[in-house]
Parts: sequence; C-alpha cells; structure tokens
Amino acid sequence: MKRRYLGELEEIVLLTVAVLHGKAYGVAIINEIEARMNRKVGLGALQTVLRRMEKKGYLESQFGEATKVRGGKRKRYFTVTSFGKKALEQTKDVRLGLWEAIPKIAFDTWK
Amino acid sequence: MLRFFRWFCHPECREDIEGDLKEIFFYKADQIGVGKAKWLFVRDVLFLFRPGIIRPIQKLYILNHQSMFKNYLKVTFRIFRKEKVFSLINLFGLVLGFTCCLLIFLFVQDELSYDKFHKDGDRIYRVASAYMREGRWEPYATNSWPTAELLKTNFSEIEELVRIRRRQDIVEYKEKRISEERVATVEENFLEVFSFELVAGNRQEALKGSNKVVITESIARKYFENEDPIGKIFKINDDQFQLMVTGVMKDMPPNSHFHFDFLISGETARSIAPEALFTNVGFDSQWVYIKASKNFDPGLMEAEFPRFIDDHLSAIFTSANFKLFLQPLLDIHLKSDLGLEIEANGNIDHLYIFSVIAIFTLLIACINYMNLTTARSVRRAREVGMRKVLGAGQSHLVNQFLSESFLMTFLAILFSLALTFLVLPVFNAFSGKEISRGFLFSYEVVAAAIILLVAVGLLAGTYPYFILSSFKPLNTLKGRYISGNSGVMLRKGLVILQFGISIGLIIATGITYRQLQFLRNKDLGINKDLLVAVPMRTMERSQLETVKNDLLTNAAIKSVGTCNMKLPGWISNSTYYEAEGVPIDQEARKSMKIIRVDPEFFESIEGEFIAGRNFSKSITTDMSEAVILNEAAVNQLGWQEPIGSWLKLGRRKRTTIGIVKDFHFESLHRRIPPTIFVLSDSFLNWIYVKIAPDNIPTSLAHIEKVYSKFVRDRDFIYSFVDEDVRNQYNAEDKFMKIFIIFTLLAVAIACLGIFGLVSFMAERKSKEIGIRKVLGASVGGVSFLLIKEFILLLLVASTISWPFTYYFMNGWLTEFIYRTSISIDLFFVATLLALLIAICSTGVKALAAALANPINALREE
Repeated sequence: MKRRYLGELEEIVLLTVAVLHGKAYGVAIINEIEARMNRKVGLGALQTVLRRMEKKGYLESQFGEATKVRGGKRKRYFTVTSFGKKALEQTKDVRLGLWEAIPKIAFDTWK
Repeated sequence: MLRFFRWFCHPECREDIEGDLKEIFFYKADQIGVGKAKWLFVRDVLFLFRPGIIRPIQKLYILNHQSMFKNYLKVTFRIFRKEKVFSLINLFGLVLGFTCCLLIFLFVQDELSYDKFHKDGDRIYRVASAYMREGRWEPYATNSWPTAELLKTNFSEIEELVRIRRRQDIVEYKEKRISEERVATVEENFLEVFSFELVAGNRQEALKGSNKVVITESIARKYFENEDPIGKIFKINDDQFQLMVTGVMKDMPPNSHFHFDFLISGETARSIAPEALFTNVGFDSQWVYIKASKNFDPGLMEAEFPRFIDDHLSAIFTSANFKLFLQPLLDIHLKSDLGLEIEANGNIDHLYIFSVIAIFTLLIACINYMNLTTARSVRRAREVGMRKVLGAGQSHLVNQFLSESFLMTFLAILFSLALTFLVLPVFNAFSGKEISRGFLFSYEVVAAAIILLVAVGLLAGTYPYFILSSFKPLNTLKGRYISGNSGVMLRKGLVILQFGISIGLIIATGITYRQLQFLRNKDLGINKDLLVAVPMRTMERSQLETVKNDLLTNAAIKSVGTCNMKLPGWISNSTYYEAEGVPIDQEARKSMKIIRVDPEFFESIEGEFIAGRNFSKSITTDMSEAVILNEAAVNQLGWQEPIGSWLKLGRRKRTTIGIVKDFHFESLHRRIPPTIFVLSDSFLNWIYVKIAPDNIPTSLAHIEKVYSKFVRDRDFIYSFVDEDVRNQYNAEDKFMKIFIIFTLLAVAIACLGIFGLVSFMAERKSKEIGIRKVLGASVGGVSFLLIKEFILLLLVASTISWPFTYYFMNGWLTEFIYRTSISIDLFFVATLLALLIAICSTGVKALAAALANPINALREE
C-alpha cells in the first residue's frame, strides 16, 4: 500500500478528533486545539482539512443534534476511522524512528 | 453574508458549517461584543471560500433531460386539451400574426426583387430629365433621341446605350388581327444590356437590321400556336410595314419594371417614325438606359451634365431650365415616380408602412400569447409549485416554458405557412402581384420563419416563465394564488399597447380611405359625369365637322367637343413663350403646357370662364391669333389685365381672349400646370361626348354607329371620363385595400386576446360574481364589472395613440399635393369603433359569466 503522509494541521486535527472521542464537531475541535496548544485555527482552514480527510477516508461523520445556539442547524460529528488511526500510527512511527535516530551528541552541542 | 456562504458552499456540508459559524458568532458576540463578532464572522466566511468547500460548478446530479422534455411535451399537450379555448385563441392569434407577417414578407421580398435578374444590373442606369416649371424641377423618365445620341458620343463611360420607345400597333398574322399595346422599338444591343432569356434566335443578331421583331413566348403561342415562330411575318397597321420574327424570348418576369411583348428593331423605327423624332431635342419620347463601364461613378457623370447641356443642347435648353440625372436600374421600381414612367412603379414608403404593420401585428400576437399564458399561469401555479418541491430548479422551469412557447410558435408557423399557401392566390389577385407558391419554400422564407420562431419563442416564453417561477411553492400548494402585482401592471401595459396599435391602425385606415375618396370625388372644376371619351384614331380629321353634326342628330347627345389629349391624362405638350410685359427670361425660359381644342370642348366638359370669351368658329382669326389661358398661366405671367394681352408662341403673336377657371386635366397627384388652350381643327385626337342621363345604351349605340361610319379598321372603343378619373387612383386603392386587410387582421388578433383575458377574469372572479349576485347585483352591473377595466385601458390607449397617429398620418398626407384634412371626428369614430369591438368581444363572455348560476360558483367550498 502506498504510504500516506499527514500534513501538520491534518495530524493535529486528526489527533484532536481522536481526543474528543465522539464529541468532535467544528467548534469543539477549534476550542480543543486552542485550549491544548494555544493555537488559533480558523473555521475555514479547519473545515477544509476535515472535508479533505473525510474524502481520503481518515474520518467519517454523522449528523448529531441541533441546538438553539446553532440557529437550528445540526452538528456534524467526526470520528477517526481505522484507516485514519493507521495513518496516525504511521506518522507517529516515522517521528519516533526519527527521534531514535538522532545521535546523543547532537543535542549536547546545542546545550 | 450568510446567503453568500450558502450560495458558494457545497450543499453537502452547508448545514453543519453554517451551524458552526453561528455557534462561533454567538459565543464571540457574548465575549467581545456583537460588532467585532460580526467582523469575525465575515472573516470566517471569507476564509471558507476555498476549494474544498466551494461547491462544484457543474450540476450535482445528471438529470435525464430527454425524459424531462418528454414530460414537458406531455404536459403541454395535456394543457392544450384541458384548456382548449385558451390554447386555440393563443394558437390562432399567433397563426394570424404570422400569416400577416409572411404575406407582408413575401410582398416586400417581391418588391425588392425588381430588376435583380439583370446580369450587370448594378451598372445599368436610366438617364432621366427634368424641366424647370414654376420654379420647380419637374422630372420625367424620358429623353429625346438626339440627346441620347449626344450622350453616347460625349461620355466614354457609357459602354452601351439603349433607347426604348413605346408603340401601339395593330398586329396582323393570317386571320388574327389584334391591337397590341406592349410594343416597343428598341436598339440592337437591347438583349445584351438586359438579361431577358431568349428561347430561340441569336442574342446578338436578332435585333440587327430593319423589320425584325423579337416576341415573347406567350405572343408566339397566341399567333402561331404550335408552329415555329422564327421567320414568320407580321403585318403591322394595315400593312404599313412588316416585321419578321427573329427571336423568341421568355415572357418578361413580373418583377421587371417594364413589360413588352414585341421588341421591334431600332432600324425599323428609322423608316416608320417621323423625322422630327430623330432631330428634335425637345421630343422626349425615349426611355434611355445606359450600361456604364466598371468602377463607374454616377456622381461624376451627373456633375458633367450641366456643361453637356449648355454645350450640346443649347438649341432649346440651358442648364438652368433643363437637367439630366441618372437612376440606378435597381432603384427604379421602388424609388422612381417621375412623369411618363413606363409602368406604374412601387413605392418604398409603402414597403416601410407594411413592414411596420407586420411588426405591429406580430407584436399584438406576441402580447396575446404572453398575456394569456401569464393569466392562465395562476392555474398552473400548483404545477410549478409541485415541480419546485420535487427539485426543479430555475433552469428546469426555463426549459419547460421555453419549450412550451417554442412548440406553440412552431405549430403556429406551420399552420400559418399552410394558411399562406392557401390564401396566396387571393392575396396576389388583391395586390396585383404574381408571387408563386413555390417561393414559400425558398430559403429566404425558411430563414425568416426560423428567425420568427426564435424571436417569438423567446419573447413569448420568457415572460411567463418569470411570472411563474416567482411563485413561492408553499403558497401555491397551500392554495393561495396571489400573483404578483407587477405582473398585472405589465399585463395592463401590454393591453394598452395592443389597443393603442389597433386604434392607430383604424384611424390610419380611415384617413387613407378619406384621402382616396377625396382624390376620387374632388371637384375637378369640370363636370366629368356622363362624359364619354372616344379616340378618333384613323378618322379623317377633315370630316370632323360632319362627325360632330352626325353625333348631334340624336337628341340624347348634349354636346360634342374635341381635344388633342386624353382627359384625364398627361398633358404631354409644352411650349416656351414670350409674353406682353414679361421680360424675356433666358435663364429660366419658363414653359407652359399647351392643349389644342375646338370651341365646343369647354362646353362639353363644362369648363367655367372667369373672364373673356370662348373660341368661336365665326371669328376666323381665333384659329391663328387667339389663346385662352387658365388661372395658373395668368399667375405665372403676373398679368393684371390678361384679356387682350399678347402671348408669342413660336413666331406668332396671339391675343388672350379668355381666362378659364383652373381645372384638373391631369391627376390630382399633379399640380394644375399653367396651360394655354389654342383653337385647332386638325391636330385633334379625342372626342368628348356629353350624353343625357337617361337611356345611356342607346346614346352609346348612336355614337358607335357614327364612329364606325368614319373610323376605318378600328373597333369602337370608349370610356367614361368619371371612371377614368377614378382609375387614376388605382394604386392608392390597392394600397388602401391591403392596408384594410392587415388592419382587420391586427384588430382581430387583439380582439382574440382581450376575449381570452376577459374569459380568464370571469373565471377567476366567478366566486366574486356569485357573491355579488347572491347579494343582489344585476346582470348588467356584473358584466360591467368585468368589462370596465378594458374600457378604461382602451381609453388610456386611445389618448396615447392619437397624437402618434396624427403625426404619422399628417406626414403621409403631405406627400399629396391635393389632400384632405385630418378631421378630429375620425379619431373619435375610431375609438368608438374600437370600444364597440372590445365590448362585443368581451361582452359575450362577461354576460355569460354574469348570467351563470351563482350556486355553481359558490358550492365548491
């Protein structure tokens, strides 16, 4: 199988969706990212990433309940698919591999 | 902003993102205030405008368009069946409109096609002339033989020059002896300049030499039946000379501006025509055509003409009193209306008028379609609502209504083609055209039909679509049909337009009719009733006195006068003069018309003397030394004391003995010219016999008896002067008849339209009518309720239409020298007439609605 790389934002969003576990919809994801990483993600950016990953099969979604604060519009909850999980793991492996490959000396010189 | 978002967003993710947007907005609004939140909202939306989220440009679903069209077709036919009356009115209106258009198109095409068949038609010109009379140029289509000769030698641009002169001859072959009028002497290059098709004989040789003639196929059949015509000999005018047939040509096509059956070679003319014809520059007997070289500039040649006249024609003319000009061959039929035309020509203004009428009728028919379709649309609102609910977008509705209107238009065009095919012979008879049915299938007509189809289909289909697609599906499905008020306003506007055009056309018809009546019935200054004109032809002029006395033996013959011209007709003779107290004006060299008469002429036509006396036979000097003038002549001379003043004609000084009141010798298209009457006993050609009102056939029989006694070899012919006077206006008559027909059609189409509208209104208001009736409204009151809107619209329309019509008709009338005035009563009559027609066509339906039992209307709920 062809290897797929996750982009940086993709990875973060995917992880956040996993963190939120079943409660991940647009605004919740933004808030979570902001809370955890103090990073502001625009709705436009987020939604684009979400749709893209859904199309790729990392995510799946279904409509949830409508609340008044949303003007009667339903939420779309995202969940990570097993394929998405695999992609995440792959990315993580690559990172870890890289971490492990760093010679000790390298960090010492920085200190 | 949100709408913008909804528009661009991919429908699949529209809902939840919108939810997100709102959630953020409300949250932010709480935290940092509404104003800032709004800005953020805008920013968010703008950032959402990116590839992943924008919806694809193409349709999401690929519909089966073919099956949708099938559905539209089916629905169209169902509606047609369900609402037969409306649909038929609709269709019929369009058919009438198209037929009207097609006929006018054919007419215009035919008029425009004149003389196009000549190969080098764009290089052929007619040399016409004009004389200065009373300070005006009076143009004639003719020129003299020597003038043409001089043109040929002085202008190298002229490649070929043809002179045509009309004759009337008695043609004899074996036992056949027929008086032919379409005879001309032409020059040998005639067939090379004009592309008439030759079926037998040699193009170059046929007209070379003396005593040759080229005839048409129909003449060949008439005289020789199935024999070979080439080489046959005609005896002309009782063997005055003979002609050998050297060629046979196809009959000259109807769209040629002249038609001759016999073309006699020019050489022949030299031997039979009087010598003066070939030497006298003032003898304008010839129609002169030139074929110019390539890259010829008529303007340059015309600029040379004044010099040419002064150099070569100075015997009689100067460039101040005579001019020459060129007429392109292709313009002659439509634009030339000179004196002595070969045949009556068309009139380009009529083409414009008819084209405008065609557009008007088409417009009325389109308005009908639009009005009826939108009026009915309320009934179809449910269908539109249902379609919308089931997912029809704007484009589907457009498709539906356009395909419907295209289908209707297409059907209408087919029917109107068929109708035109049927009525074409009638139309031809009516308009004096010879348009063949085959022309209906020519590519011009097909192209016109396609243009019509597209134009009308779009025009008629788009507007209903706008009305219908604007319905809110929820409302229509709930049963609330409130069509937009804008639609009603537009409908009213269109009805006003229809009425306005119709009223304008009615007024125009009325004015045309009045003008024609005016021309026909205007007091000519003479008594034209019971006056018989008889040509003398071969009568010995010396016996004239005997003839007159013989005629007068019958008590029913009141008086007999003679004259050298046909009344009514063209006064073809004119003369220069010197006059007492009038300085000789070399520059203008004014001329007057001259007519030869006998003393009884004024008696028989009942001309009125203002001063002086008539000619008298007992005064012998009257013959050579007296003139009678008309008022116009006195005006031109500026004489205060005309009686007794002298006038010099040629070398002879003559004394004015009488002034006759101006009367119309020529048609009313021409101003009364200054005219000199001289007494003559020999150069007389026409006898005018005044007869008693009773027992006309016996009087005619008596005239015939005397005639056949004195006239050799000619059958008795005569005409009534009043009829001849009427016949002068046949062109106007024809124009008016065509005008009336198209006006009637236009009005009929408009009537169909308002009939449709009122029946629709009656249906919509059936409940209202029911309730009113239950509450005691009278039938009349209820009918009036339905009609009154139309009456109001009609009145508005007529006030708009009046000034326009006045303006245009006034312009039309100023083309006439003698014209009726536009009286205001005609306008009222037209409006009243339109009112009457409108009330009649709407009244029936309104009355039916008013008479209906209210139960039927009210029970439903």
